[in-house]
Order: sequence, then C-alpha cells, then structure tokens
Amino acid sequence: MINSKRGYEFSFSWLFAIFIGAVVIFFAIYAASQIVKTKQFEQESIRGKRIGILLTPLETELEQGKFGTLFIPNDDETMLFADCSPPTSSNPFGSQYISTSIKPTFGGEWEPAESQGVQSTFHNKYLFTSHQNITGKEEFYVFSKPFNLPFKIADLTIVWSDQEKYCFDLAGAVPEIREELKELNMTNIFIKGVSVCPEGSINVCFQGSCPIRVHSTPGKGVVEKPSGKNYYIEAIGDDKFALLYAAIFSDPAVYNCQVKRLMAHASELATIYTGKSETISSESPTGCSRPLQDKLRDYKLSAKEIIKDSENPKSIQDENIHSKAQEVENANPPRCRIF
Amino acid sequence: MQIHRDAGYSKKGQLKIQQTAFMLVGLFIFFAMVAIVYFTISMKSLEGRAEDLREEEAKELARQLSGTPELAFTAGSGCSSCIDYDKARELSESLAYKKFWNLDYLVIERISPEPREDLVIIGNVEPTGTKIAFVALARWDRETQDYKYELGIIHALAKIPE
Repeated sequence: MINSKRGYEFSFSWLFAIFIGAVVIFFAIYAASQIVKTKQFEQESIRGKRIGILLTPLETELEQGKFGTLFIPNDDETMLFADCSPPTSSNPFGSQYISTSIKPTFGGEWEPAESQGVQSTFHNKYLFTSHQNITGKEEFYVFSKPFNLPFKIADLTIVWSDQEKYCFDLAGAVPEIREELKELNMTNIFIKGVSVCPEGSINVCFQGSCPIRVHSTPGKGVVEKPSGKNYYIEAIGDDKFALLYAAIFSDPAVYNCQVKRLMAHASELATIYTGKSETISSESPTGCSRPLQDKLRDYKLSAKEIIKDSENPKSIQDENIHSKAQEVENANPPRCRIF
Repeated sequence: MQIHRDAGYSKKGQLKIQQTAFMLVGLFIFFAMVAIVYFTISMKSLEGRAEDLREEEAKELARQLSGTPELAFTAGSGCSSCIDYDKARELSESLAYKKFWNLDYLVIERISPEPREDLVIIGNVEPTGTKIAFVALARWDRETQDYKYELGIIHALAKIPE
C-alpha cells in the first residue's frame, strides 16, 4: 500500500489547509450567528421602547375610554413582557417595564424568557395584562380608561393580544358597563346575545358561574379568577368602573402591583393639590379652599397605608380610600376649585 | 543548521508554510477590517434609530403633557386643554417628579403677557434638540379671584438612556 502508485499522498500542506479552512468556516458561522442574535436583540429592544411610546397617544384626555390597535411589524410573533415593580422610597412611583421577544424567523427554538430585548422603563404608565407576558401574532389591543379618585390619577392601560378572546355575559352587569362594551365594539371582546362567542374564549360573567366572575356591591367588588382574586373600588365621577375593567383583564400579581403604584401616584398628586390649595388660600381674603387641605392630608395617609400593606390585596377596600376621596371631592370649593 | 539538513527538512516546504502563514495573516486582517467597517456602520445606524426614538418620545410627551394629571387644568370648564400653571409651580418644587417622565429637560415658559417667565420642572440649562409645543396656561389670579388664561410654550427633551 505504501508503495502503491494509485495511492494519494496527504502532505502536511493539505492537512494544514483543511485544518485552517475548518477553523475559518467555524468562525464565519459563529460570527454570522452572533450578528443575527445581536440584530434580533436590537430589534426586540427597539420594539419594546416603541410600544411604550405608542401607548402615550392612546392615553385619554377628556374621553371616558380609548381603544386602539398596535400592529406588529412584519407579523413577527412577539411576546410582550409587562413587568411591574412596586413603589419604594428611592422609586416613589414604582416602575413599569416593557420589553419584547420576537420569534426567530429561521432556525433555533424560541426561548422568550432568555431572549428578550432591553427593558424600557416608564414611571407614568400602568399596563394591565392577563399574564406577565402575552404573545401576539399580528396585533395587540389597548383599552385606556382614566382612573379618577376624585381627581384623575392616571390612565389604566389594559392590553390583550390577538390570541386572547373574551366572552362577556352581561346579565347582571350595571347598565354603564353594558352600554360601554357594546358601544366600543372592541376586537376579540364578544358579548353574549350580541355576537357569537368563539371557541376558546374566556368567559366573564356577573352572575352564575364562569372562569372570571365579577361580584359587585355598591362602591366596591371582587373579580374571582382561577389565578386569584382582584379587589376593586369604584372611582368617583362619570367613569366609575375603570378599576373593574383592569381587575377583569389582569393577572392578580400584576393588578396588585399596579394598584400600589396608583396609590403612590395618588399620594403625590394629593401633595401637589395641597400645595396649590395653600397658595390660593393665602391669596384669598376668605382663605378659600382651606378646609380641603386637611381632607387631602387624610387621603394621602390612606393611600400610603395601602402601599405599606403590600401583603394584603384587599387593602384598597380596607383603608376606606373611596370615602376619603369622596370627602376630598365634597370639600373642593365651587368658588375656587382646586381640581 | 546541520541538524536540520540531517533531519530531512526541505527549504521548499518551509517556504510553503511561510506563504500559507502570510496568507492567513492577510486573510485575518482583511476580515478584521470588514468587521470594523460593518460594526461602525451598524453602530451609526443604531445611534440614529435611538435618536429617532428619543425624538419621537419627546414629541409624543410634549403633545400629551397638557393632558397628564400633573399638569392638566381641571379646576374650570373654561379651558380643557390648558396647563395648570399653579400645579406646574408645585411640580417644579417636587423632587419625586424629577424622574417621573423619561425627560432630561422640561420647562414651561409663559410668553404672554409680558414679562416672560420660565418654570423649570426638570433640568437646568436648555440642551440642543429640545422639542417645543405652544400651550394655553391657566393661573389663579389674586386680583380677580378667578382663573386667568395666558399663552406659553413647553420645552421638552427625552432622556438619554443610561
């Protein structure tokens, strides 16, 4: 064999070239996959930030509610992460984190939890979602409701995806909710008796038994879900049921964290209104709006108690914030209104 | 040298290895340069996109600020899109609100009636690239004991991410 003329001599230079070629190809493939990963990360980070920015014009001004659709570019299946961090002494309003993970177009398994973009942080947004992450194939839907207690505290932004369908049985619901849901005609929200509820939709009812059951009493109520209970209170003014909508659509962990953040926001707003009232009453010969200041201070204390009581999801009802808010509303003088 | 010759190493073989090594170094430098050019271009485009997002965020915020609970004038029915100048004054003294919006700079400037007055809510010196929006201001007037309406400008610049 050694002396065979038909044999091929594998010289050192051949072996060397094959070895170096393999190394070069390996590095080229590695570099290409790293570049694809970086691009994907960049796209996910930009998408998260853009969703946060696009939610701003969907916030309400004078409206009682706004419905909008966020289209996913190129129909890339996207997972939206909406994490909430409760208020602390160094972060008085808490934070809303928004990030996304996009399903890779080719190759590899989608591991959304490990491959999400940079989190964008917002302190003035309150997202209520059915889970801490929701997946949309083409669209996300946004329903904004102002939360007034008694002054406007913030917009509650309820988000669901084209993969989630809700079926409302409005028997036993208050007329305001019945009319609003019919009027807004939101995508993937079906009303029994008005449209046919598709298979796989999540049932919401106000009497009887179903997966999302609303128990309401005047001024407050509870939404029972398989994952837990969301306690709500009615708001003050024309739009009483903002928090009820948030409770229906939201995961209990997300809901409780956002309620704490809303109370922190209410407390800071009470400080601003107290300051404004002090300025105006000092410039008024009759001390207009002075009685309001004590009511605002009481209200602020209640809001702070709700934040402190982090383990109790029912604290929003226990601290009587609704009655304190009503007292603030009643003390707002018509001659020199503060809010 | 004697030892090498005795071991049977050929000069021709050594030259070939040297040629291959030079070729590899050349190839490495070429790919390194291509990578540098690629990363420079993609960094520039990323910076551009980040800047676009900042601009978009500042524009949306400036447009929407008059509707936020902190600034909206809700005390009267005379002007629903007005900014409450008295609330803005309280806001300028609040430390909690310095990081509330993703803004590096937020100033409300009263332009009419004279004299002009600046109310600095976030930031100190006006940076370049600030977005502006004209707004109506509502303020409690000590003389008339009622709200008075004026004209102003909001100056806003989105935060540079840390």
